[in-house]
Amino acid sequence: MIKIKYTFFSVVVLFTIITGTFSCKPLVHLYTVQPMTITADDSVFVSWSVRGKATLLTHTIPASVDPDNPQPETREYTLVVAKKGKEIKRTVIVDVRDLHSADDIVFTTLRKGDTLLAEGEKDIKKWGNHFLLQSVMTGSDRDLAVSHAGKMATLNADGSPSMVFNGVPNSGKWEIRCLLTAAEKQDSSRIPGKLRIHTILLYSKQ
Amino acid sequence: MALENINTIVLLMFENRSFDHMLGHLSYDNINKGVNGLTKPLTQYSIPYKGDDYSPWKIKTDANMAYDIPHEFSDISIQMAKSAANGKYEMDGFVQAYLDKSGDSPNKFSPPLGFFKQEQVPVTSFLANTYSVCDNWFAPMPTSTQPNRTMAFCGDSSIHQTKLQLVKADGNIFDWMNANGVKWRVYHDGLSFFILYDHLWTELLSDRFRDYESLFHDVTTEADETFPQVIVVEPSYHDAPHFGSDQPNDNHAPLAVGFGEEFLRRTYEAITANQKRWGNTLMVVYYDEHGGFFDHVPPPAIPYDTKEDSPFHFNSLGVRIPGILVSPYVAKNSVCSSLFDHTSVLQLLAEKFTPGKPYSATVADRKNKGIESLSTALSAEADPAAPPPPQQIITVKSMLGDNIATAPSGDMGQAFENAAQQLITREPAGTADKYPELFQWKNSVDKSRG
Repeated sequence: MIKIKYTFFSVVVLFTIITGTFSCKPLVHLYTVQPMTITADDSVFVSWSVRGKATLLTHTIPASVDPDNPQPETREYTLVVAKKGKEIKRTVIVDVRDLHSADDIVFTTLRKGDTLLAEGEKDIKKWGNHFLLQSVMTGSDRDLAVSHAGKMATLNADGSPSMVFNGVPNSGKWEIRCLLTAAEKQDSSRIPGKLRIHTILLYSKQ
Repeated sequence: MALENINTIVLLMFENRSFDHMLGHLSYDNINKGVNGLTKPLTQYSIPYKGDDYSPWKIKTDANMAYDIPHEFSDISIQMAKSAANGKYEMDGFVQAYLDKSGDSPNKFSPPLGFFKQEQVPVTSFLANTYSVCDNWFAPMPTSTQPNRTMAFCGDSSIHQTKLQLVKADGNIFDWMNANGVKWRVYHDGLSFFILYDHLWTELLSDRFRDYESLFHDVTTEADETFPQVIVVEPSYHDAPHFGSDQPNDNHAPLAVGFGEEFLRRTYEAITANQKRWGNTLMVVYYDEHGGFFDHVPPPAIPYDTKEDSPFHFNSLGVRIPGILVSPYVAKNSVCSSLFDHTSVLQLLAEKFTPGKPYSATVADRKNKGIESLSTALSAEADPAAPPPPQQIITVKSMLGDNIATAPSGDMGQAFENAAQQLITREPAGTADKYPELFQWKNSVDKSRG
């Protein structure tokens, strides 16, 4: 683990240290690292507000090539706050991705009549807005109607890619719909609990 | 019938770990492919959060965690994630429940999704792979420690959540064993959990509650005439008061599990030390509940209404927990997939000591709903070999935690504090005789509270 200096070039540090005169325990009021998904040459914003003496530690975990569970490279940003012999820490882990990468979007489902709906927000705090969609395809082995960023696309069950969202950030609201099959209408236990789409991303600072 | 050959039943209940978290590696690493644990690829266990996908991951180092994992009934409801679309428990809300409570940022190594490999839980893995591992054992209710332990040792629960309270002990096994002439004893490595049941304080202060350090000596030297038929072994609880070098070892997060591994090794060595006695022993190793850690198996929809003035209704069992049966009378290297919960132990006790008469109406009702007795895992043929446990040094990346100058926090810690304070007040002589350390602890806590 490397003890980071405030002048460390890839980290812009905004910090406020609030020294609690009347309490002996360290406390973290606020600690954020943004964005939480970057590419190798990116900077992140680290912000904190604490009671006690703060030290920021960074640690890089190389990408895992474990075929069972591949993981991108990650960087741990650990804030250690000490006061009067006591210490607490908070860790934020940042994913480091290639300029081109793949990612799945998945939401849990609701039934609306004969339609299955999965919707939610891909977290902009985690992704920022520099990961742009290139192509999108179904990850649920069925036709899907997808809405995002004011655009709509139909994704075919055969897995063919759609370019409708080309150039749009992956973060933000998504809505995924499909029709229930006859078997699912007859037996609701066969309805999938999630719908998934595969995406290909291109990182761009534009 | 094998049960007739069992003279001693040892119950060792740890705290707060799920089956996949502790023993999912058995199938994942092909140590025992017959176990319903984790399998490859891990990405099949999709845990969604804000559009991202999370999966279980392999813990590299056993260390104290930053925080406990949420595991009160409201958290568990999120974790089990009953689908609005198909009505099934999707078991995919573990990341959300954790982040809702901790305020942490989401990441690929979300604490509730970590699972141990064999090298980090060598004794648990050894016993599970040497004797009979139960891969279909669930906590009796999808809630936290106090209700599940109460169900385990009373066969009913007058509470549905853990909080600062003393708990009713109606139907408890100690009264039941006394009424049925069963010899029993508790060996506690620290303050007994049963301090939370004031009805049991007379027993708690009696010679039947003994220091854990007496276990080995009693097993190896005590005469059959007085040796207990049922032994409850209690680890040192993380939430209870601790003194000096006393180290909790109940596996309750955020505690590292290495301490519990050492405790399990010592307990196994103690109960197998007397070969003659071991030949008729069954040790049950189980957990009160899953502690918020991921498990992939949805619990069966067996409902339960608590015995409160306004009963609380649970729609299902709780999350799956690790269960291991250690005995000459279980098939070596076997998997038992019978449906168990903690009342399966009470079924076994009734079959053994009051044959033909169920432990209680509630336990009988649960049996009718499909929960089986542990006796289903016993075999008629005995294999008295007791292979030694792994002798490796267990390492824990750790540091000393809070000391007695720190007043307890959290519902469980404060419940222990409250019970201990009341025990000191109401039973000062007995407490001085049995738990003299509580007086120094009270002094420190009172100072800490100002």
